[in-house]
Amino acid sequence: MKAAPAPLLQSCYPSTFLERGVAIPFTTPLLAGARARPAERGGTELIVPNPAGGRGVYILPWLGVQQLCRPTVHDMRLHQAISGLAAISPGGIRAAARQVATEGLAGRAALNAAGRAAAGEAEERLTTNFLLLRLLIAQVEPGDAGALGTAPALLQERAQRVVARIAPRLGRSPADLARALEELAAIGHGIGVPGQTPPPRLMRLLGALRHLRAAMRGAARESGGDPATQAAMIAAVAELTMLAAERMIADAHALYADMAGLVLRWYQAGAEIAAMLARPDWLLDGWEQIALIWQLAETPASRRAALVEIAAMVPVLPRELGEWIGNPIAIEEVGRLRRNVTLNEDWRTGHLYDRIARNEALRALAA
Amino acid sequence: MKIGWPGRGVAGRADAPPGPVPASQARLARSLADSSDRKIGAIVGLIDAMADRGAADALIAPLRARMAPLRLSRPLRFSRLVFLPLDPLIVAGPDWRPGMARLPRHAILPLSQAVHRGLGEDAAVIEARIAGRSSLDHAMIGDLAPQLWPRAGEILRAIAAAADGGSEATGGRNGADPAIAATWAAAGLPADMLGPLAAGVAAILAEAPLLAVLERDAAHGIAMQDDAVQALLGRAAAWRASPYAGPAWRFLMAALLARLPLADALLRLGTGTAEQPVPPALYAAIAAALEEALAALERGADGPEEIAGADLAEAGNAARRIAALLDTLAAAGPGTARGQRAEALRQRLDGCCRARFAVALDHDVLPRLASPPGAQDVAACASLEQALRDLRRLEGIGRRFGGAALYDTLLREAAALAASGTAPEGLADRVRRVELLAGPEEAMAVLDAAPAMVAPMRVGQV
Repeated sequence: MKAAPAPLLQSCYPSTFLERGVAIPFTTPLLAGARARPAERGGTELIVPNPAGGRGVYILPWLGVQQLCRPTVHDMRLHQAISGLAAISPGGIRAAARQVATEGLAGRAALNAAGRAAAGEAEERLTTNFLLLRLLIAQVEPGDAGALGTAPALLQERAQRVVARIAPRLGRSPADLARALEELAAIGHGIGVPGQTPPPRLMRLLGALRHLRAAMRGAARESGGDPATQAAMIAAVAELTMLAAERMIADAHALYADMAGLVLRWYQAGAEIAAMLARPDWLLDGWEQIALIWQLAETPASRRAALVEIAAMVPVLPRELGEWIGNPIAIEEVGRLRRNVTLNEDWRTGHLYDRIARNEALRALAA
Repeated sequence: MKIGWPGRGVAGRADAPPGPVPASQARLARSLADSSDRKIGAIVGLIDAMADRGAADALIAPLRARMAPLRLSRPLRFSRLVFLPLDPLIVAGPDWRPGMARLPRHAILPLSQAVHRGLGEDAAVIEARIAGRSSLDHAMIGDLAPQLWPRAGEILRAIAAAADGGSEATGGRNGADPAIAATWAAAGLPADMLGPLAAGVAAILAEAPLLAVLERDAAHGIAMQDDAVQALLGRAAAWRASPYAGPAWRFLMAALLARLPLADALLRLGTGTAEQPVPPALYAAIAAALEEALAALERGADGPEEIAGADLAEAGNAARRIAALLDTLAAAGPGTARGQRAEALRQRLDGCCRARFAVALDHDVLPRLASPPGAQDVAACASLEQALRDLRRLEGIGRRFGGAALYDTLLREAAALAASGTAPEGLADRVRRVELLAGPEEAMAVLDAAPAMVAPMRVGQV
């Protein structure tokens, strides 16, 4: 006999982003909006929004998830991949999800998209690496700023030359300097450098969030009843997230104003800088899925349904955000805007396969 | 009360009661009824394009039951736009009886013309905007309907009020404007039915924008909200002063049940468990609408047998709609005579679902699994997966009424067929098909049995 799943928690106000967990792009409908985080006793646990659409979350190990629903093969594989991660982070989950998608278990479109996204991310990392190097040269040897040219072509050869020249001035070996820039790019490629074109992933996501906020404000104005309340809540959380993300990105970009200092600090306090650069990724985590759900909802009817779905999966803002931006935020106030809208049991079962297909389409659109 | 069809003059029109049909035409109509979906679309398109449909319109009468699920693109005419919210309640003339919460098709023309006149110059503006548009132009309908429907409702409510007193006893004279009295009589409709039918249609049109929202919500799994239904019933209660309150409420309730079969919120309100009391007569209208819905299913109109003729995608939707209505009926009167009738319908639904499932498996699924598309044929792979989803949707509803073991066996056999094959490049497709047919555990077993075919997991870390 299967054990009953853990009781539904009526509220969940995490203190930190890690406690909030990282959004997992599961395709099982009942796992929409699920997040993973390290469990207190080791391993990983999942936070699953109330599948009925109301308030509350389940906090479960994978075994509990299997008692709650029948995860798809894709989701079983994704869980296996996540279990193998040394640490839970948005980047780690993203990489795991792409890897699983390349097996084709979420469909051919998702498979192709995962390949494109991985290639795009590698290119972004390379571009950011290149641009960081240009910034360093411009600041350390202003007269030699054109030494790398304007494009990443022939980057490696020229970069090695320039790094070999600059590294002694910073008291480091060329290899050390090159590695520091690579590591900074590996963490910060999502936000890139100021003015980077085309905009890197998180800057594009920030744009999508702005668009979503505007759409939600419009929906709140034009709707009545529950849809208006849901849209207003989503717009409010999107606004807070967006403003905080802009601040985090500005803070991270400010580090690049003194590239030499940043590189030197990287050797001494790398973890602190890495955490700062990773903040926008943590903050915006989960919004890509939400923006895509809205994007796919093209008719008034499907937008109405999308509002209900999104309202249940809007990421909670942890108290840690107050520390990041230097101001406490009224998280519970935002939480109170959440409203119960029940979903028919029949819908959750009768449309199961269509909903899985929709979720696979989301995977095919994810960056 | 005298009921009957005059069978003269107007018999060949879409809006008129069918009169005697020549034998050759009847044979042609019967042969058309056996046509393929594609042929039906072509025939309806030809007839829609005729300036004077005349007798040709009678040819599509037997096709109407099959036309609905096909969602054919038809010219967006004024009467079609106005009467869209009435769609589920429109019946052929011979199937209509006074007192039913149904609109006989031949009543559409006189009522539509009355609305047209009532709108004055605005009608011409609407006509100009819909010229050349299709019934599937949801943007245009969404743009015009929210204002048009309630206004049409007001016009028809006024006509119902004016018709008060008109009856056979008064020689068919009533207070309605002479124009509608004339067209009503020409359509062969009983004079004393103008008031009730106009009131019924008016009640639905007044709430049509809300009905459309509720229907869309239901289609996306959002349960009917008590407060929305409460507000609707509150407005409907205002009809109590009208002599046509009964028909108005019955029509409104029938429209709700036809579009939102899982109407437990409606029933909760009707049974007095809501905070705001509902007039007893309004609850009686709810009960009457339920009875009518049950009777319609028993007659076969939109009943379980509809599933046999529907395409696979639509069959699941039809089964789901009927099942939801049966759930509502069962909730309304468990253990009663109505409960027994609902049970009989459940058995019919069970049989129809099993039969349609078996046909779908034999024709749409097994041949394609036996000779699956190549991994590179993306469109064929996607089409097969969609067929499997449609099959499971039908089976998901069907097994609620019986045959679980049979469904399981057939699905397992199909899954075994889907799993066969050894080509590494097709593994993911095979696993997905098995998952759709038999579930993730069985699909995982297929995947585990072929570890060498899957790229090893490489989990990136940051």
